[in-house]
Amino acid sequence: MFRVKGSRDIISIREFSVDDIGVFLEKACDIKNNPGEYSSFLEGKSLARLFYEPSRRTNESFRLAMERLGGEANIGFTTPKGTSVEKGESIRSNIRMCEQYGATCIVIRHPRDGSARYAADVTELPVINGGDGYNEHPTQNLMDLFTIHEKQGRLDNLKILFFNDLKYGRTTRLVYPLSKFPKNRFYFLSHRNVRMPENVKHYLNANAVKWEESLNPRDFPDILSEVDVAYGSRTQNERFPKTPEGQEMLYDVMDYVVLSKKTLKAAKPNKNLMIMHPLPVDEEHPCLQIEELEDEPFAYWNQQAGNGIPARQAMLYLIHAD
Amino acid sequence: MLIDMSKKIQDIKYGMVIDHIKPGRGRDIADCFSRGLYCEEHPIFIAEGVPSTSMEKKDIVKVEDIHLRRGSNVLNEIALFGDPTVNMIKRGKVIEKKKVMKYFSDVIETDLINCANPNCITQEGEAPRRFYTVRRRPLEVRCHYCGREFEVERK
Repeated sequence: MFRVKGSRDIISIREFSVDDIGVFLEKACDIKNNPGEYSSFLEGKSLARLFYEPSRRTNESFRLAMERLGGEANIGFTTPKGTSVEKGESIRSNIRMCEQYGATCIVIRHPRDGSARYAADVTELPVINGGDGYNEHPTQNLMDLFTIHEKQGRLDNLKILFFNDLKYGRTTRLVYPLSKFPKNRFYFLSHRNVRMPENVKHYLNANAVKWEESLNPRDFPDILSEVDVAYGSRTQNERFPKTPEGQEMLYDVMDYVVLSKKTLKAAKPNKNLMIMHPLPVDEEHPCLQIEELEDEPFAYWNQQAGNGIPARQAMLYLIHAD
Repeated sequence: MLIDMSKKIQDIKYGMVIDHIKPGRGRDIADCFSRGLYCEEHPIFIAEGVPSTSMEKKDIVKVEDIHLRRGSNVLNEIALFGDPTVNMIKRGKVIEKKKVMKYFSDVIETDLINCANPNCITQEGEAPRRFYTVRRRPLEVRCHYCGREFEVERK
C-alpha cells in the first residue's frame, strides 16, 4: 500500500514522510535490480497522460515506466497542440474522458500552479503531478532522492548545494524532503535576483535545519569542496516577467553562476561528490558545462535522468498496488 | 430573496442582526446572504448610515428566520467586510452576540478572495476558490491549490 496522507495521489513532495520515502526507495531499488519480476504487474492497466506543456523526459519516462510494468500509456495527449484543449476544453472534461476510456491513473503536466491538486479533486482516479507551473515537480524530486540514495547510501548527514536559479527552478523543492532527514546541511548559491525563496528558508528555520547562502560566485570552489551533492538548476528564462525590468533581471542572472572544469579544478571536492542537474541544460547560457564535465567521476546527471524510469515504475507500482 | 430597502427596520422574533457594519457595506453584506441562501423566505432589511456611539455611523442588516453557525460561508464572506457584530435572535431576544471573526472557519470557499498568485489555476476560472485560514488577525490564508499564503485585505 502506498498512501501519502491517505491518498494515492502524488501532488506535493511536502506531503511525503520519511517512511513514505523509505517505501518508495526500497521499491525503486528492487525494480531497478530485478526488472523482469515486474514486467507484467500492470497488465490491463492504463496510464493517461495529460501534458498541457511539452516535456521530453517526464513524458517519455512515464510512458516507458508504464510499458515496462506491462501496462499501457495510450490515453491523453503529450502536447495540447491540435487537441480539444485549443478549443477550450476544461481539465475536468478531459479527466472525464480519461475515466471513460479506462484509465487507471492520470499524470498531468500543466503551466498553472495548483492544476494537479485541482485534477485530483475532480476524480477518484489517482493523479500524479508531472509539474504544475512554478510550483512543484514531485516525481523529479523522488527520482533525485533515489539517485542520491543509490550513490551515497543514505539520505541523512549530507551537505547539499543548490546553485543557479533557485527562485523559479521547481526541482530545488528537493530541500523539503531532504530536510526531514537528520543532520543534512544546505548551501544556496545564486544571483540575488533568483535567491532561494524566503518561504523555503523560513521552513528550514522553523525546523531547525542548517543552511547557508552565498550570492558570490567566487565562493563556488570553496562550497564545492565541502559538499556531497551539487545540484544545478537551469535559469528558467520563460518564467521571468516579459517587462523590460524582468528581462534586465534575466540578463543579470545569465552566466553568473557556472560550474565549469575550471571551477572544479579550483575546488578540492570529496570523492563522493555528485553533480546533478534535472536537464535540459541551456545551451547558450549553461549553469553547468556538461560537455567538458561529462567524463568527470562526479557527473551524475545522465544516471539521474536514467533513474527516472525505475523511479516512476516504483511510483506506478505503489499507486496500483492494493 | 428579498432585499427591502424601503421597509422600516423592525424588530425580528427569530433571525440574525448584523450590527456595526462599516457605513456603505450593508448592501455588500446583504449580497453575501443572497449568494449563500437559496430561498426567498428570509426577508433581509438594510439600514444605512444609522447614528452610532462607537463608530459615528454604521449600517445594520437584519435577516429573518435563520441562524447560521460557525463554518457557514455566508459568515466567512461577511468577515471580509470588517468585523461586524453578529446577534442571534430568538423569541425577540438576543441569545448570542459575537464578532463575526469568531464564526470564521478554517476552510473558506469564496469568489471574494482572489489568490495572490497570478499563475494559480484559480485565475483561469475553472477551479472553485478554496482557502485555509493561516492567521485570523490580520487575516492570512493559504490557497488550496497552489499553496500560496497571503494576507487578505479587508474590503
